[in-house]
Amino acid sequence: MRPAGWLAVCILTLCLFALLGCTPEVVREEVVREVEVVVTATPGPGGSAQTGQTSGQAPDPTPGQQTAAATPQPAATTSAAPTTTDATENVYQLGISADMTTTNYWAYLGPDGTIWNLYVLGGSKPSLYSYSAQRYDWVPSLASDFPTPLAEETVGGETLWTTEVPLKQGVKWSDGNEVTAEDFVFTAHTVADLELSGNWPSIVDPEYFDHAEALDSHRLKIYFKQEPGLARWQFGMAFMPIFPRAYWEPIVAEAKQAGEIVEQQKALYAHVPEREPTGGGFGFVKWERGAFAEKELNPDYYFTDSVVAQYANGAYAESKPGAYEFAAYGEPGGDKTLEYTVGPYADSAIYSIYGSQDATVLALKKGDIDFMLNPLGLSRGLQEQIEGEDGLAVIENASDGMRYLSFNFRKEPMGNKAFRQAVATLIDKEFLTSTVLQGVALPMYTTVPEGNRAWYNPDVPLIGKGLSRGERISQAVQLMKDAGFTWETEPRISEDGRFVEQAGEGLKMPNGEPMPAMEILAPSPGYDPLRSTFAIWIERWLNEVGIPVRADLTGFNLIVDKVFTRQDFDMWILGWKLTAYPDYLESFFHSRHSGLEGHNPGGYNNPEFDRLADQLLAETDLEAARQQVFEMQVFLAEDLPYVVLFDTPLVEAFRSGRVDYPYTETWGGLQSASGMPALVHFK
Amino acid sequence: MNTHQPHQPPVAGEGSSLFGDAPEINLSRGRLDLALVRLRLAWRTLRGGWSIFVESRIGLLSLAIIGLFALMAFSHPILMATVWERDVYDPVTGYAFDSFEHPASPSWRHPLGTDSLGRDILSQLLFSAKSEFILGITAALVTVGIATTVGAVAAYYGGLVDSLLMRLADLIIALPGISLLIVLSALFNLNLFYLALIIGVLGGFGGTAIILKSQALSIRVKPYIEAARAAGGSHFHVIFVHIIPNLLPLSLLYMMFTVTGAIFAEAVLSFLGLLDIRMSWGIMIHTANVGGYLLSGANYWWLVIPAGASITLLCSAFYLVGRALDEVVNPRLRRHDG
Amino acid sequence: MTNYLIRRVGQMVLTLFLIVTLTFFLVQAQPGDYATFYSLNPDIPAEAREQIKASFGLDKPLWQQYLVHMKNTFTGNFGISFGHYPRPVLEVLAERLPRTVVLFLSATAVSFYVGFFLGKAIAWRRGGVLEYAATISGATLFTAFTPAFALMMIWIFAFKLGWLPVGKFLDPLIWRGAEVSANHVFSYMLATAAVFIVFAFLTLLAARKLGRLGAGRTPFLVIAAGAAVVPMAWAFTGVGYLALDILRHMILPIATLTLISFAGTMLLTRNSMLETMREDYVMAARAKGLPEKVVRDRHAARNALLPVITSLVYSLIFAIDGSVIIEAVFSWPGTGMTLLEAVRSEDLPLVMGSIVFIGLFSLLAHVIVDVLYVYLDPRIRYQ
Repeated sequence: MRPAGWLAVCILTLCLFALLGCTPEVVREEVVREVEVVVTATPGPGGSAQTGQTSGQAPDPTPGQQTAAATPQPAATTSAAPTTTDATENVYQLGISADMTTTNYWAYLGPDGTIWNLYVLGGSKPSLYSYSAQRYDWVPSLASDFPTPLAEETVGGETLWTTEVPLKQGVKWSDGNEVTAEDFVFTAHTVADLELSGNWPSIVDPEYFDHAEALDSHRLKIYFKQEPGLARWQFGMAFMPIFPRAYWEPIVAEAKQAGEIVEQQKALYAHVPEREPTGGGFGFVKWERGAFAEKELNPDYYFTDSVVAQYANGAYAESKPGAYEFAAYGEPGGDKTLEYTVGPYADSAIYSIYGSQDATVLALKKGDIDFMLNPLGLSRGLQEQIEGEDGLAVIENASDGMRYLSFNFRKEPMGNKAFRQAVATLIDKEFLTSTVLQGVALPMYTTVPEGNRAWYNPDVPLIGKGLSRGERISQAVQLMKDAGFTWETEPRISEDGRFVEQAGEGLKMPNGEPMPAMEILAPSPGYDPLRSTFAIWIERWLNEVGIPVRADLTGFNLIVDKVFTRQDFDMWILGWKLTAYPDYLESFFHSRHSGLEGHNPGGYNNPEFDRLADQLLAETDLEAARQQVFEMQVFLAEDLPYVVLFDTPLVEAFRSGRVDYPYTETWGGLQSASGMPALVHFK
Repeated sequence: MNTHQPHQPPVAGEGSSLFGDAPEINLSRGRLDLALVRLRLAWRTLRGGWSIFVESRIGLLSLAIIGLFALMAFSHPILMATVWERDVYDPVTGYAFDSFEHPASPSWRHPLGTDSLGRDILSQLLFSAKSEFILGITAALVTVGIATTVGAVAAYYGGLVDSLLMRLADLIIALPGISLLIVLSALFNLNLFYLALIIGVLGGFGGTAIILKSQALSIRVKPYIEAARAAGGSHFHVIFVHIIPNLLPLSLLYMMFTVTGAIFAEAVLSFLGLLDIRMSWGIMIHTANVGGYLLSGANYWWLVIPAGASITLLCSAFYLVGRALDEVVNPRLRRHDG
Repeated sequence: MTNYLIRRVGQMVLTLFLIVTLTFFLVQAQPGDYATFYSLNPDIPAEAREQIKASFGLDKPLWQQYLVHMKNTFTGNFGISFGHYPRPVLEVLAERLPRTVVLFLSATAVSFYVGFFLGKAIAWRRGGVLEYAATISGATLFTAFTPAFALMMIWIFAFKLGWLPVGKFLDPLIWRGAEVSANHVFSYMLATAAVFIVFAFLTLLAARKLGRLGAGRTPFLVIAAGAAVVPMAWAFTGVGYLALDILRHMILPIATLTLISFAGTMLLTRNSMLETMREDYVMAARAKGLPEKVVRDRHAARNALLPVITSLVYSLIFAIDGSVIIEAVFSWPGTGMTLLEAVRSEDLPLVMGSIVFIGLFSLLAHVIVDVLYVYLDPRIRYQ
């Protein structure tokens, strides 16, 4: 007897391989034929409100940060592409690192909020307003103009705040129906009625939203229970993705029959859309789980051929011949900083899933994909490999993250401002980022990243910037001495000022007690080598001055548990992914969020800041809000509830021999615009 | 059942085993003699085994490799204390100030270059060798300690005890080990010691126990066991003095395999970023991978090859020593009858 | 035999019970839960977070959650995945299982065959160059650092030489127009393999029954003929080209897995052969002057196979269990990757589901080997 079964399997495999060898041409032909049969569906402009997520724990070895909040994407209102009917199809091939988990947009903004879902599904739903490309101006998308100012109105004995929004005429879903005010009303009311959770409450906040009504098919009126700040209205509801009512109404109606509210939600989330009409440049057609997803061109996309222009004087203009013209933020004229025509130029976009970054890069180099979508960008080594490769281009952008060190304000000496400033002074971010980390990280000083041009304050005080080791130490020691800290032996610096000859000893706090031993919780090298490197060096620098700290490099979950769930810690290092509109400043630093599981676990409590934060929350005017955010940045940079440490530049690569983009300079990189499927064109 | 217990507390491995033991002070003269005889016997077995082992060239070579790594492990603290300054050569916090381009290629000061964070690769390699030995040997000792005891107890008592222990072993064999370790290390902060303990316990109650039990069964029926019982030896005495010492050669064999398994598991888990340790060969490769240097081929060979080769070399060395030991333990595999 | 099987199944249930319990409490014992991930988004109000907890059942006391999980597991309902909400875990696993099974069954079969063949050879020619070469290279590959090695294979064969695809199990350009899903094709492939193995098995059985008539090469010719029918049958289904695409993507992972794991079988076969070669009947066969090859293959190897078959179960478990790395490197989204993904996002039901599935799989392998054993060694009869 032989191991017959195994022999058999081998023979079988061999036979099939043999067959494979003979028929590759046949295979290709069949493909082409099948493709012609497929009916096109349709997706859309990048302008809808996309909520950034706890980015679903990408399988990448260096998962980044927790996501802070909704990150609407810049309006990828895209470019005019003459839909070629030639045999040569333009397929835009993208690589993603994890599978999507749903094709249901309700679920994506609910419990399935992963970045991968966003990449594929994003852009298929219109929204009233969106961010402009590059500059993150607030501009109309489906709306034809800015809304009317918020007004108080008494309806049925209740005082409500209202605003009216005019909509563009002639915008169509891919099934031919017009996109109307009714679609908006339906979407908002569905969210409110089903009490949808996840990211939905940040878009339709039940504490603010009362109801909406369609004054006529293209005029919308929204009623709020209380005066909504920018975050609730302009950067909240105005970015809400609008669903096609004709398709979803029966499904929502059925879901509402499902009993308890949780069951109703489940019924809605469980629906698997088929040929759902799209309002964007592409429509979703196929999802081969674990392998790829495909979207196809929407030939009736409204924004196709519209031209977007941005001017150096700040003006923004958008027009589509014979349809509409819009200009804002000044008189268009003078130098243009950006101009592009919206597509899509691609007939189809395919998202292939690769299990590791290395495999994705190989696929890119081999020509299997045109662009790789990854929220963390490329690592240094992979970047080096791609640079200089023919037909591939590497681009680098500021990213939308921030890694920080923060304190437990309930314990001394962390509550002491001088102490925090001394710590900030001692941390040589430039040395770490440029020398140790070789430029894979960039030093950061403020709570709003520089790449966020509309909200970044360039005049923030930079504590410790450009100082030498010796200067840092003497300055930090001075700061602490002035605040009443004392040493038995002060740290002594070598003559050339480069290193410490004698570490500080016997440090006492202003109240005379010895400095307690403290711990810095930071991610382990396995999770994030950058943050753990920072932690290790901070430990060393503080010890040199005599501050007894120890870096505890541990798992992400454990840090979150100790810091956010139990608030049992001294200092910690983590990171956030940030939104363009910086209302997160309020969430991170207002004293009302300092309870268990709040976002101010350090218990930072400064009435002066609270006042600023409250003001920002209530602010309804964009310009005024900007001034407040500027003021808050300065305040935080001095008071230092966070010592902002660094950010990583986002490095991406695309197949420049085949595709091109109207612009590649953008905060968060091309991935923040989901790879610009509606703007990419082919060579 | 156990009417007389001659020594209490029991002396572990009294006068037994390959490793010998300091006899208890109040031992009677006769016992001491007996112990000496046993020691001499053990020594003779050891030498006999060694002469068979030497016949396997692969086994010898592997043993030499293990010795080399042990030397590496010992050299790290010495180098750190003498020629390597801590600021530059610390495997975790060191930074090679002499170059501002990292990873730097091998140089006189850094014979294996530096990693992407400017740390000396050779120092990391030597430092990790020690951790790997600690990990591997702890896991192996735990495995074999448990497995030998379980095997001997199960074989000696039989019946209910036997079937309980063996069913447990069956269950553990059926557990998906790597998956379980992944779950464990993702959920808890496993450091090297806990990892060694878990691998050891899983191995000890699992497959190794079954093999050692079948060996113990063949010992249990030997006449001298009967004699020991008849002479009034307690169960404990018989198990630990007569059965376990005879299991030790086979245990040693399985220790080798456990070491391989443990080092390999550590490397894989570190590579996936699931372990809570500051430096190891797995972490070195992980660092290279995170930096994107895994695919760089010959350009950055020093980031991957030293660590990767060390894992492979040490693992296969232990494995092959195990194989060679197999020939010592199992006469049927020998070329000539021993 | 029936009694034995019943007992074995009972044991399996008990093992499963233990696995589920163990996993449940492990997952519970670690800090934080799935809802924590949502609590990190400052835009999500506390009530919404509570609601998420409630919809996942995380607000109930621990023992209640445990009972729910137990009940679910043993009624075949693993609950609803958090990460794929509201998709049932069973559905997620059912989608991934065929891929893992197809890949790892084929890989185990190939590596087993290679290992057995080599082991036979090196035992027969002891001390030869082949023995040293095979042992050293086998052990080296066996302990090669899998992720780096697998990546190197991709780099060489998929990138530098361009012969094979870079990871994944299909080519989107070929599949985008396909009317069937990949899982259909995988199921067809599994069915084909099953039918074929049964066919081959029956042929051999028949050959044995027929005695003289069935001796010699005839049964193998019949099997080969059967094998030739398979591609033809596929050609009629219209999805043959899709299966071929999948097969093409399987070559590299299978080759890698074989290289990594053949050493175990090889060395075991060698030892087992060495032991059998000392048996009287082998000596007798040699003394009779039978050709070396006949003695080796018919007398020694056949009997040496027994213990090796037992090891097959371990290599199967090893393959399935260790699938995480191979799947991740080759972008092959099977159960291993699912487990890793679920563990990382603390998708409790999915973690439990995958562990149970992987456990179930290894248990099944045990039983199958037991049955095989009976068939191969007529002396063994289970009570």
